Amino acid sequence: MAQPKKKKFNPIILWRTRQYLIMSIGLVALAIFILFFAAYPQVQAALELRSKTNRLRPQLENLEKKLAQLENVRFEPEFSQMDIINEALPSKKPLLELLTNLSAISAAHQVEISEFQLSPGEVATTAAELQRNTRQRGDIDTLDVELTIQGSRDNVNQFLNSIEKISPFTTITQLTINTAARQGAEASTARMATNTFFFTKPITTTVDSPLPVIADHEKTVLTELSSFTIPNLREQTEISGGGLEDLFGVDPLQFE
Amino acid sequence: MSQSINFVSATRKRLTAAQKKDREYFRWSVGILAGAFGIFLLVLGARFFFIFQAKQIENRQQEVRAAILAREELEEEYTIFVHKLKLLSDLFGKRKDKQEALIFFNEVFGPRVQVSGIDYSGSDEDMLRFTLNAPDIFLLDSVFEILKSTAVTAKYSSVQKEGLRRLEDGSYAMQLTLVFGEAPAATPPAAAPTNDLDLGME
Repeated sequence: MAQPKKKKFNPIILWRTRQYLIMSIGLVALAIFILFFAAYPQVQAALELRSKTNRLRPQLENLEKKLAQLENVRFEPEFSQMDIINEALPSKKPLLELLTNLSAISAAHQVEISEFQLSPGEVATTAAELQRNTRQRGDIDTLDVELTIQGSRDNVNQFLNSIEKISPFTTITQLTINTAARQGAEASTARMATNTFFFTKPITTTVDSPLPVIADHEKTVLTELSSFTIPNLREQTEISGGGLEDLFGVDPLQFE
Repeated sequence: MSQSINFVSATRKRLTAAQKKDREYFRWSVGILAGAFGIFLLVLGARFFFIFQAKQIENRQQEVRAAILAREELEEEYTIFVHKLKLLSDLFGKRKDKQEALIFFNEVFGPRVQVSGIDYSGSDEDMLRFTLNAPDIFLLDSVFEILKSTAVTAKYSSVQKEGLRRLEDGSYAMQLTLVFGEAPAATPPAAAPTNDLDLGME
């Protein structure tokens, strides 16, 4: 018995009879290809860009806010009092300013400074280096002075009040008062240690970081400082002879 | 007259029905392709939109940064100014606590009890130590009573008494240490009894 002849696959016949089906399959495959290999990467890229713009927008707002603040900062009443702040917290060791003010208030309140102890730190050359009498308290440097004053009880009290109202900012850290009757009047001797503050630390900031804000309680400090006694001392800007750059070895204030 | 016989009539009919369906599939597949292409264009458009937007923001950022850098000197002055102001405000705050404490104790003890020595130079900056002088034992007793009173304990939760001594002139001196920043206790703590103190003679 003869075997039935197996039909041979003929693509031409298939194309001629089912060309629309073949084209449909091709189009669907193309659509899937477009979705997965063209549209999907674009979706990912678009989402990334969207999150990038969302990230950039607040940065831009902060920068614009900072720029607006910088444009207005000169007109801020607080900023116009910059000299008061620089007098109260100078960027150099305020030795001469302190001495001038101590002399002025002792004369004003008629008290006598009988003992005075101070080591200003680096003076003249390195060979003449003395015991450093400045300390760093956190962000701030202090110049420590010990002194003894004598006078009537009221005058000593007034001196003690006044010494905490001078620029550079000075505060009494130790105080011992002895009062004795002398020639019918009460005479007082006050021995005290004081800290005078100055600031020489570098401050770091970036273009993107916001400007610092002055709080309300800090504005009241400005009001208090405006009543402080400021030394009438002409600033020395040059050194004659010796070839020295800095008498007291304090690094200038740096800004990064 | 000869008659023609179609042997593939049934096959032709089946094929025509299938081709009709194929055309239907073709129309659907064209729609699907158009949809896919539309989605692609939409996403591409969104991407270009976000590229444009990001570029615009970056350009504006560069402009603003340049404007800020042009005002660098002003920013420097202002930053130093505010930093110093904050430090001074902090110093004022600490000093004010101590001054207020001295005024407070001067008022509660009265004019006959004198504050003769003050020390706030310790390593702990939130601490004030001062010496009281009471001219007689009765005033010293009233000092202890005042220190136990709610007026004091409500304001200063930690008042340490130490170094009680009798001086040559018969007066009494005692050292008080205040610690700032501690919340006052809800109920006033019992003050340390007098015999806790080291009573010495000078």
